[in-house]
Amino acid sequence: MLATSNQEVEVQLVEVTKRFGDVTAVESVSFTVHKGEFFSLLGPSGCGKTTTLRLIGGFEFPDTGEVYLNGRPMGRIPPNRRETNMVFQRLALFPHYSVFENVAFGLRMKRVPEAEIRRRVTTVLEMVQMSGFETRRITELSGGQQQRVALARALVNNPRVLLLDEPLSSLDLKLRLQMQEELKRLQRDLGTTFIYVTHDQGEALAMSDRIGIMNNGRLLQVGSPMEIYEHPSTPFVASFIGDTNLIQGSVDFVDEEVTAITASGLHLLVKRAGWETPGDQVYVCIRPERILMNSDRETGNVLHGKIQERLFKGHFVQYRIHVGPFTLQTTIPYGGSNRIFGMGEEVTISWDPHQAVLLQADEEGRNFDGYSPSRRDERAERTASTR
Amino acid sequence: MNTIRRERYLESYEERSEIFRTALLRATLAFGTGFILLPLMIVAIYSFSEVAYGIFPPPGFSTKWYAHLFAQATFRGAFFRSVGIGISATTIALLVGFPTSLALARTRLAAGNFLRAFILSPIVIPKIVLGVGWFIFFARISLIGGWIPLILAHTVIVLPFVVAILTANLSGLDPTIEEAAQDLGAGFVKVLWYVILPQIKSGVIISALLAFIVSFDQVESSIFLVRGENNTLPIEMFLYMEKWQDPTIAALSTLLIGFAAVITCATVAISRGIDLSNLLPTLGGKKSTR
Ligand SMILES: Nc1ncnc2c1ncn2[C@@H]1O[C@H](COP(=O)(O)OP(=O)(O)OP(=O)(O)O)[C@@H](O)[C@H]1O
Ligand SMILES: [Mg+2]
Repeated sequence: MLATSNQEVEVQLVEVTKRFGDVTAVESVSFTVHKGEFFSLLGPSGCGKTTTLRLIGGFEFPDTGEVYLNGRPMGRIPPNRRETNMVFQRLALFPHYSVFENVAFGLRMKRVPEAEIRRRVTTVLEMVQMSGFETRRITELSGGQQQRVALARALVNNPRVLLLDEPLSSLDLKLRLQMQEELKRLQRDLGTTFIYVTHDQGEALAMSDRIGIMNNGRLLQVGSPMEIYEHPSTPFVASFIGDTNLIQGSVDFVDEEVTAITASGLHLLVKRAGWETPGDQVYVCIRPERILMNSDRETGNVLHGKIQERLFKGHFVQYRIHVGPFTLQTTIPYGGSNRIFGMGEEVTISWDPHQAVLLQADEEGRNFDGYSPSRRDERAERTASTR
Repeated sequence: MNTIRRERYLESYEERSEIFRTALLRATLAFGTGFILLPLMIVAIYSFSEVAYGIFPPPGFSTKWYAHLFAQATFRGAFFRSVGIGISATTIALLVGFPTSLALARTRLAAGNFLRAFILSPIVIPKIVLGVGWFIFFARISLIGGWIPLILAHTVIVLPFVVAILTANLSGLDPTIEEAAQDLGAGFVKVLWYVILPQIKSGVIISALLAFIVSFDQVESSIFLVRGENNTLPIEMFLYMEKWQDPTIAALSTLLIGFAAVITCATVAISRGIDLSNLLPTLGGKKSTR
């Protein structure tokens, strides 16, 4: 487990629901964030991430349920009386103030002495590498610089909880990676609790102690990046975090350790999950890098296929392989003793049943379209073959 | 070959139509400006006339009508009364108009549109009708004479201008900026003072100047509310002209034109940088709420 320095609870949501007219933006969401933790909310656009953050910050109040900060129920306490600060998705810097005055605003509101304001603003501007821009107007800054000012404006107040709504989304890739490291370092050094909203799974995996995956207003799974990667709880989570192959089938029989699945004529074995009974509609989730190709260590599931597509990605090679009615994706490290397979080549692929995860094909299962390229191919393939 | 020639023809056609368009625009502008300025210039020239009767061009020049004007205590009194009433009406309209505009700009209720239409209605109601109405109203409550009826009447007349401009300005603001201020510890009053007002500063100044000019210019709406001792400047001028036709009024008008020009220049200077097209949809009453 990734360590959170302290297990004291800082933020807690209990069964929080928020509706806007007919839209249920957040539905019965509960989770706990510990002191000093870097907690991310991850999910596709419109899934309710911003609304959840706004409920914590006090910009919205729950229809039902309760938000607790530091053990206190927040009820309808407004944002100016909560010990949280927010970095807004659309930044919301003060256009009529200079960089310095933007950052100083929170301290001025708290009537901090002028000398201390000067010192703290200078320090925090150094921290976000914006020294020398003090007198600039906001309109005279680039998008990335504005983002850093927005960050500084929140950080300077030393909040107990910092709420960040996609703070790096308008930066180019290089600056984004650099700022990710910076943010992570800042968070460690300051020991501030971060609740970080993003729809970029790479960002969430790299930075977070724990991640909450949201879809359609609901929190599907909370766990460390590795837990979620290894044990996704729904097909949606599996395809949203990392690349994955999802093979739809039904349960044949359940054995002591493994469960047998029939998927469009293919027979597969997968580690037993415990809840399944014969006849259940399920998905088998197998990560591309867990599939072996023409290996002498073939175990468990051995299938024959034909290479349909090959993509060279630098340190690894990605293949799409037609196996019966499915298109499976594999990735093999480039170099060493690994050979490169040719297009159209017949290959044997295999994987250990314990490397795969059995998932319920439930309501969530229908909502992951578009997040798993192999799945889309497979469907197109299947419609083609039935005609 | 054919297509090339055709393209050339089209190109030169576009060039020619462009030149023609520019020329037409300039001519229209010159004509329009002249149409507005010429009468004013004639008034200005006439005010320096040597003789008391209306003849143009004047046979000789003098400044005696200005001297005559400054000798008239009634004009001086009426001027300061008009300025005082204008400033008072503008101040009240701003104090009432700002919260009203904030509510109108932020509400999502259908009632907002009715309220807006109601507040803007004095713009389209004939002023003489308003004037008669107020006369009856203030007579009933025995409040004819003095400044108060005039100030109240003028407030109602200038309020639409203030509300139209301020709602347009406020609708253009990004509400998350106010949320950010709140997040940083500002309560409602501080958000108003440090975040909302600075952002609409130019709108406040422009609406104040416009309100003042509109108030200063009122005749029909005020004529039933004055009783001699509290005549406003335009009414005093009207009364003077009924008795005398000498260039004194021209001299006064020339000074007022200068006064208006200063205010207009100030307005333009302030509004430079803010998007005036912002104002248009709301003046039409279309752009409702965000
Ligand atoms: N003020 C509001 N009024 C009405 N509907 C809203 C409001 N705010 C959010 N919603 C709706 O609630 C849902 C969740 O919105 P939210 O902004 O929380 O999504 P998000 O996960 O932050 O999306 P994104 O990644 O695009 O920012 C959406 O369907 C949105 O249309
Ligand atoms: Mg959002």
